[in-house]
Amino acid sequence: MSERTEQESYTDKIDEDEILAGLSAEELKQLQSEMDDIAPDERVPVGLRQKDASHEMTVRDCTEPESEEEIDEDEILAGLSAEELKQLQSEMEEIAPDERVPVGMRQRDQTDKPPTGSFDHRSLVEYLYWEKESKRMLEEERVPTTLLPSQKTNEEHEAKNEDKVEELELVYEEIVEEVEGGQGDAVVDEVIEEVIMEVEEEDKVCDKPVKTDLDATDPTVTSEDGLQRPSESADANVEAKTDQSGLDTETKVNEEKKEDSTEPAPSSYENWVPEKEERVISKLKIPKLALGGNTFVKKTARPSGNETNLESTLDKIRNNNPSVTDVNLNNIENIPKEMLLDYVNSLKKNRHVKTFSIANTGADENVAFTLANMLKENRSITTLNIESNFITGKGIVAIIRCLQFNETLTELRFHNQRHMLGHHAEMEVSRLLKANNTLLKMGYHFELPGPRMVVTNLLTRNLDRQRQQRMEEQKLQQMKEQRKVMEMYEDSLNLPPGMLEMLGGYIPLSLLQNCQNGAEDIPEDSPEPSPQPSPPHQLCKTQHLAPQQHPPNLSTGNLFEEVQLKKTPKRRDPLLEWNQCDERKDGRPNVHLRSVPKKRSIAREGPVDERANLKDMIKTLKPVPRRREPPKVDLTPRDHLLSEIRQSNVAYLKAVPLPKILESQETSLF
Amino acid sequence: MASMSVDPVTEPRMYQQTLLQDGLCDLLDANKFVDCILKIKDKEFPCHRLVLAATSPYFKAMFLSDLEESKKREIVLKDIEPGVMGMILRYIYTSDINLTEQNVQDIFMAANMYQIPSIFSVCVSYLQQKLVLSNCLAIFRLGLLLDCPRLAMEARDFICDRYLLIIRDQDFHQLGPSELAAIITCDSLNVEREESVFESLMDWVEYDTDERTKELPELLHCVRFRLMPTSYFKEKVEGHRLIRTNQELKKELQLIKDAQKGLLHRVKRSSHRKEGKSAEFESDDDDEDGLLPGILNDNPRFGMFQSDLILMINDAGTVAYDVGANECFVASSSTEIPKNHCSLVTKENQIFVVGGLRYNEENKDQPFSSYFLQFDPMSSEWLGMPSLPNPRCLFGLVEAENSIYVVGGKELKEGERALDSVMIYDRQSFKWGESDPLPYAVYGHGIVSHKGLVYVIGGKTESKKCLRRVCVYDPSKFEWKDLAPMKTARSLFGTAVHKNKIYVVTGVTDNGLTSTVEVYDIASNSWSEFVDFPQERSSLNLVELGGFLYAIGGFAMMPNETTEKLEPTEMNDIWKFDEEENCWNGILREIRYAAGATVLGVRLNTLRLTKI
Repeated sequence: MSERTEQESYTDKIDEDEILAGLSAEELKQLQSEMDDIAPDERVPVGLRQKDASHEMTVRDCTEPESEEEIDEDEILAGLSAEELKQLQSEMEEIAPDERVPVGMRQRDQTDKPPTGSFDHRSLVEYLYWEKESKRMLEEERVPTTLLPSQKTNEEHEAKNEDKVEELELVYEEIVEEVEGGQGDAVVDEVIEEVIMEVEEEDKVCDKPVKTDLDATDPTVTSEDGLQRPSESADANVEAKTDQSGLDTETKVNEEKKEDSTEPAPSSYENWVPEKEERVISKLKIPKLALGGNTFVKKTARPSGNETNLESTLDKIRNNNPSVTDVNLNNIENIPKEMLLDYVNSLKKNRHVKTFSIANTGADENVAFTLANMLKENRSITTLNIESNFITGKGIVAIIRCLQFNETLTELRFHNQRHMLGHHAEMEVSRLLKANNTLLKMGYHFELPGPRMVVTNLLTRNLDRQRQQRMEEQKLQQMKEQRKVMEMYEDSLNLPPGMLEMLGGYIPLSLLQNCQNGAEDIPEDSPEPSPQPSPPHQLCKTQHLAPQQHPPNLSTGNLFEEVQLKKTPKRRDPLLEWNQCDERKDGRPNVHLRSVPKKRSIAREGPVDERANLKDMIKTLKPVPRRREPPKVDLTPRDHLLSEIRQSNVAYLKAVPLPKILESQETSLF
Repeated sequence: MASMSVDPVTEPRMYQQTLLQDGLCDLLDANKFVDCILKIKDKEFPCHRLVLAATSPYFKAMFLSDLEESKKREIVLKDIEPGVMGMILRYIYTSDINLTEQNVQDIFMAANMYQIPSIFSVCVSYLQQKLVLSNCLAIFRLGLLLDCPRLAMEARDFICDRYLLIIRDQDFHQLGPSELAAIITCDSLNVEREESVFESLMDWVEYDTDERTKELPELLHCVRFRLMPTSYFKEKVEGHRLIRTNQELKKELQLIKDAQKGLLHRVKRSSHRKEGKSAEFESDDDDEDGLLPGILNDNPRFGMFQSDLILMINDAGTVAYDVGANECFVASSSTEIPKNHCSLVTKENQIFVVGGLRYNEENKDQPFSSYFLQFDPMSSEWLGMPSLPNPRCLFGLVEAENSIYVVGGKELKEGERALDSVMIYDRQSFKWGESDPLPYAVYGHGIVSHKGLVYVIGGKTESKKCLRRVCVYDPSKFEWKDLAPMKTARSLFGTAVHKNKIYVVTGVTDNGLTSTVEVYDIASNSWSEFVDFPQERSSLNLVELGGFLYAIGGFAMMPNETTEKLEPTEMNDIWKFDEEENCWNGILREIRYAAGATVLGVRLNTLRLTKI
């Protein structure tokens, strides 16, 4: 309002004097200075036209620090908060880098990530050792060694032990000489020898404290004055040494044990058990702090990150333990051949394991043959994964041969073997597979188009057959239910069973139902076939096959699972993003976008939306330290893909537009 | 309704009974003459007293008695489920009952309680039919419990037949002492060695040592210790920890030791059972003079009549010849065995036959197949098994690693080509499949299996040339390998494994028949000469039986009686190789059952076979 009137007044003739008269002294001053800028006094020579700013500065310095006049930097800096300072510095570095710093190092520190843990030299060294060792072992595996790695390590172990004992003895001898040189008395000699004996004994026992016997020797020592000092010192020396060395040996032994247990080459299937390892570590007298940070020591007993406990799992399989249904040995480095064979052989009689994966375990022909023979007997495994191994066409053909007699396996993956399958083998596979009626998925890409077609057709045939079987089962089930209803009806009529039928009185089902509804509390829909047959059998299969998170509505299309997995989009839902934007910038007028998508997304994915919000929140709360595991090994693209799949979740999937009908229903809810 | 199907002239009784029953049922449905209501829980079953009394002595007694109950219209029954009673009534009025494994036990019990003999026997028959390994012990106990000798006997016989399998069952340990005794006293126990009876008994005792040790003296009387070897008796029986410490038992065992020394004391049964007086025997009691204490029983069990027989299978029947006793037994008179078959006996003594040509209209892809039969020694019959796809003759039939292999041979279709394919029968899934093919097509070869490996020897190629080649198949490695070849190329010979060596006897060479014999040493992979067979023959059958080699039948070139021309004549004699004299000895000049037969060395129970 007021603005307007002013404007209007501008258009009118302005009475300058009146206005000026109404101004205060300060305002007048300001006005004058402004006027000076706009319309300098023509009478003043140009060189002198600068206004008198001495007063002005005090007023204006806060608002316009960039004026060329001298600035009180210290004052300004003092007035800045710590954060502002930091910001300022980073900006300064960019604008005016320190000349003394070499150009290559002039980058500013942009990390705002807190340290993941204290620096632990030991774990780092261990990690490096591990990496090197596993590489070496992998190399070794290519070349068959005559000596089993287990034996080797055992021998090494023994050798080391012997060394240690010798070392100890040497140390004592030195001390003895020293003491002799100083005093040359037999008593001390004896005393010390005694101590040595004890120490040696102790070394065997490894735990006894040394002190007790020293007390006993004391009196003899004190009897001779001159001897007291050196002997005592010698004693103390020995004590300290022994104590230390005892501890030393202890720790060393422990270390050795640890090394042994973490040694990649397992002996009689030595323990990969993470728990066990932890126990060993805790025995070491390393400060807890050092251990606290590196969680990966126990988690990645193997670089592969596969935490399957080889030995206990094998035992469970042998004992037919029903809890073990999924055996995953993927990527485990250096599984001994014998153990792999033991695994396969123990699966022969097992009735619970459904999934067996030994991808990338260096399985060769022999393993394949054993697998083949196992598949002949086993009646529980539905999924077998032997990808990325050293199995040749012969081995694969043997497995397919035995699938002639297997009626449980539905999925077989054997892609990416070291050698090509070969054309002959491919032909054989496609020929032999005709006899199998149960295999539904085959993880292999045929080189030849012929066998590829044949196998695809066969798998389709099997799928079809399975479907038909299911239908039949359903029909049977339906019949059963019908019969049950009949019986119930008879019961409710209080007739002897069968009487009704005998009398020829076959009452239509609808009538029966009506009758029941009155009489008993029978589920109404029991005699009707459920409109959407969702066989539990099939469902549970998909669960086995695809342990990753799946969109729930894809339960049947097994055949194309792979494709779907690859497709899992990592893009975020654009709609969701928008929602967040909306919520943040509430003030912005955003009429079209807001109403429709928001409602839909909430209606469909309420909890998901919430989660997204939460994420957003987390983002704003920056300084929350998030502990991240250090990278275990170089991540391959495959690992990336896998982790993406793992982390993928419904929120990341593209929203499917709702059908019109549903939409209207949903929206009506709000 | 049911009466319609009965002819009143031929079966008047049946006709009348059916009509009567239908009439009663109609009356019930029309609710006429209903004079009692069986009330069970909250269910009511109207019925006729007359009918109930006629079917069950229990109801008859009830209605005839002067009890208060008998006068009432409503009779309340407890201890029975309404569903069960409904089924029983339904049976009474309609002769229709639907027995299942779930309800049979309840109905059986009810029939027993209410004394309805008809339903009782229906249940017994049903249970008899359903006897299998997993339930025979339960049925046996049920039979004893309900005092039904027919069922108990049937179950006991079933158990005795499969005793060695059943003692591995967990339920075996649950048997009561008297039930166990009833089983192990049987003559029909199918055990070859008495030791297994003793061991199973001790297992049973050790399952609950504290309770069952006191039953031991009684039960030991069921074991026929005299059928055991003395060494076993000394070590395992006397040395057993439960027996060693028990003085009473020791005294009883003394009896056996005496008997083993030839001292057979006739003892009064009661005297030694009473107390430890048995050390001095009283042989003066004439009443029980003929009776030995059970512990001295030495009647062989049924299973001990198992003996080594030469089994000759041809299209006229299956006959077993006992060499030692020089006796023949008919194993099966079935004539459905195809000609030109191959036969096989497995390590578990199962007998199979493959061969012939079978036409199956329903199978459009492969209408022709070969018969595959298994001999069932229990019923002495040949059972049909899944037939062999792509039929052939002159092939090799062999068993390895629980699978049956059909190797090579000649196609039974136009062209009659020699085959290199190998068919494999998986005994777990009952399916034929393909195995790794031979490196060469062959027929008329010899085949044996030893320690899980399959050896293919000689034979003829497609071009009818005899082979020296020997191949071995390792099923665990899925591969064929060549071995040292024979010295003479031959086909259609007799072959058998004997003492880790493969014997190849006579056969056809490129120049006619031969009488030479070669032996392959499996360990050293080498062939060596052996004592020649007395005559040049082809298609000789060689079997290993009880540690001896027998050669049976085959063809020899003999002068025709009229024309004096040499022509192949079938021989039906049996020869045995005498290792001491190192020569072949004829033991039977002619056994006509060997004509056109394949011959196996088997172990069968002669009690099951009919002696000729």
